[in-house]
Amino acid sequence: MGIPAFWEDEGSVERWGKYWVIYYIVFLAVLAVLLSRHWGAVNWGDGSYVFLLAAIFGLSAGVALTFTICTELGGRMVLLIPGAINKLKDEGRKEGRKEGLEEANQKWVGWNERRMAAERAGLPFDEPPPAGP
Amino acid sequence: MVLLIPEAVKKLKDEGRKEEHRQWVGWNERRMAAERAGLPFDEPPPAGPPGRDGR
Repeated sequence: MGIPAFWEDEGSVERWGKYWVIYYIVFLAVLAVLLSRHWGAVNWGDGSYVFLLAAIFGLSAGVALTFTICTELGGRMVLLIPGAINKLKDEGRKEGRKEGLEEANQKWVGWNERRMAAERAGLPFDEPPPAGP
Repeated sequence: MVLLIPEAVKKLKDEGRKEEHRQWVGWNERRMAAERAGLPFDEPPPAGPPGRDGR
């Protein structure tokens, strides 16, 4: 189960993020065409307002896009973190229980092996079994 | 394990120890009962925690 990319997900934030990406790409393309066709008019003289407007539009679109992506990723992380913590806790529980089982099992296996060895050798075996925890 | 507080880890290990101990005590009691009655006893001892022997 993976996290769908924001352009694959139809959630509201993701949908707006997708539109922003499309808008920004189109904007940059149009801007590139305009600048290449009217480069002579874009200078810090009389035509400087064109460049200023383009810069403001570009900057605002970039900020909006960055904000959308950060919100989307941040929101997803906030939602995923508790689940990841619970998963780790469950693994820890299983591990702790397993450690206890192994510990007790080792004591009993050792005792049982000594008992069987004594039995095979025909010797009396009076070692008490391991005490409970 | 890192996210569990030490007390909780100790409790979980104790639970595991108790569970395994119960199984072994049960097995040992059945073994001794069979021995006292002069009957054969072929029940295998508890196999330990799952995962180690493929259980």
